[in-house]
Amino acid sequence: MMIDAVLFYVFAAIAVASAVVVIGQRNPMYSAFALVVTLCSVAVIFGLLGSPFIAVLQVIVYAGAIMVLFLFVLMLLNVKREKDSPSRGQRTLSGVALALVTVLVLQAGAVLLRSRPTPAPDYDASTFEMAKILFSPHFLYAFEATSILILAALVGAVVLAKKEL
Amino acid sequence: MSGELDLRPLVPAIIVGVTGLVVLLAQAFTPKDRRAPSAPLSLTGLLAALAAVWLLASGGGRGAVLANAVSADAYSLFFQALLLGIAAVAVLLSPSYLRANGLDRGEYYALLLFSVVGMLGLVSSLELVSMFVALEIMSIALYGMAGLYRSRMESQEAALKYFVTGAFSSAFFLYGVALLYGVSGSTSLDRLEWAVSTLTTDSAALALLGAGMLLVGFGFKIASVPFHMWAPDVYEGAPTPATALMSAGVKAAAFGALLRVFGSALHALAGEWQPLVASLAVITMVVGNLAALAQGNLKRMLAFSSVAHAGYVLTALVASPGQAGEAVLFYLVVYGAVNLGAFGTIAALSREGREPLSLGDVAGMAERRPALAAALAVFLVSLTGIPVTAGFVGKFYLFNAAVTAGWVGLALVGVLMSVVSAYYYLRVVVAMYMRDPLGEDTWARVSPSATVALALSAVITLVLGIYPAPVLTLARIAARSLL
Repeated sequence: MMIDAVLFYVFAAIAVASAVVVIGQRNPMYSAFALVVTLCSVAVIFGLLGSPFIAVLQVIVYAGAIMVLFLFVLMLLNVKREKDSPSRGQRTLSGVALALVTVLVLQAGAVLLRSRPTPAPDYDASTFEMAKILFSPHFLYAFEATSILILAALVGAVVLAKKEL
Repeated sequence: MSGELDLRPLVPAIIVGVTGLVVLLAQAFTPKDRRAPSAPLSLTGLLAALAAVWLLASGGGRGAVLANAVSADAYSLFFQALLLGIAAVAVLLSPSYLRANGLDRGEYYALLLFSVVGMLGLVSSLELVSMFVALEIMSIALYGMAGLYRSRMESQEAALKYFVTGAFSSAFFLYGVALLYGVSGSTSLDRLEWAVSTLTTDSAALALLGAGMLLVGFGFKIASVPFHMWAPDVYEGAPTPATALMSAGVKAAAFGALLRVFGSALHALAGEWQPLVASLAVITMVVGNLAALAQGNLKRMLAFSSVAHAGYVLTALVASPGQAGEAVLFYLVVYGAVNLGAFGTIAALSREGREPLSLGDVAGMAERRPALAAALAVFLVSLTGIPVTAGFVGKFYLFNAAVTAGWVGLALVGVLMSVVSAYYYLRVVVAMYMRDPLGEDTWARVSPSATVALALSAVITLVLGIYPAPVLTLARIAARSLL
């Protein structure tokens, strides 16, 4: 238990710190790499919460596939370092202020709703159990319909991006 | 876990989806110098799906299947028939418009069919994750359609705006689903219904927050104020037949899901969400109508009018459950026919990248195109809600439902705002009939398929205004299956 708590605080701190780096960096490439660190730290927290499947998905899908896509786009478009602008410091300040307000509102909400965080009941979050739910008839429609969703997105992207069809 | 795998309720959606694939393939295998038969293929698919809905309905319909994820009850069959009809009319309007604007591509029809798959799923889902996936299919296909007119700045703006606000609203919807899952431990609507009827004070706030988030998500899709900012720009920038589909189809599908979630699954919380929806209805009617007054562009005027009409439908939703269901269903049929007709008239006259968008463009239309001017006049009079057209009967039932449920003030605002709306609708009619034409008639001859579409819309508008009983009966049966 103790080690869990220590790990949680360490990785939560890393996640928050690298998230700050994401928005604080002027070079978009560094921002992207900092985002990888954030996503991986969040994956560790999922692991600590007893959801190894989500943790692995987080790494494969977000830190892996989506970040590679980001980096490709950054390299293809050759995005330059952000230029200095006078309002930069102001923007950072307002960002921090907004984050603080959000945390306060969420805390106030939690207090007002009198919701006591209760530990989740013991449940089996193994890949096998996840698959059993995901591929059950309950989600069959959603699962199959997702293929149409992806196809529609693909056709839409081609229609919008291709020069001459 | 139930092992029943009955795919019959999904047959209409499967037919439409497969037709979308066929349209894509036909496009790929057609030689460059020839035109793929996309529109006839799409129309055939939609009519086949309509026949499948008819067969399902004559088989008595079916309750929930696929472990309570999807249903083919009377309610979803009613909506599916309506949506397929709307899509078929939109397809009829498309070929001449696309050709006149150099947009004739098979992908347009494929995206249209995919968006219809999403709409069909939206109205038949009994489960929030399926509902979300269907909502996304519908929206993503429409983002592509909105941006089809790439040479025009407005179309690009429309696609981007629609995409960003749409993604934003999806996030709200999903957050709402997550919170309601937290309340009920399940994403299916019947479990949710059971959970909200046995709420403890602790989870009541959570359920309300979730319901509120869902309402915001739906609010974007039905374009109710204050979530309507995208509507005028998107309606203006998108190709006009796509706009017709958006205003008629998306609104019907989104209201179909909204009524199922709020009127049925969350009705135990009605005391809490009714005032919220009532205030949404009031500001939507007021802002939509007042903004429409100021529009010089016909497409933008119709866009704000469709915002206002979302407000009229919301007034009846407040009264649900009860008489509201049939009023909403009937009104969506009326509204679909009328809006397809109004946008269709603009689309049918489009030529060489231009379409009649100002009052000057339609001035003296009655002299040159008597039939077309008469049809547009019928649609506009129906939108105003003047007797003998379907719009009057529809509004009568909407406001009647609100009054019966004790929301007299709400109905009063609706009636007052309808009077305001007469100014901007009838202004167009006056221009068509009383003013002299400006310059030469350079608009396109209306193509045969567009003529069929417009005639169909006009006939439905008039018939429902004089003899609404059959459709009302169907709407009543459909609404009953929700309770």
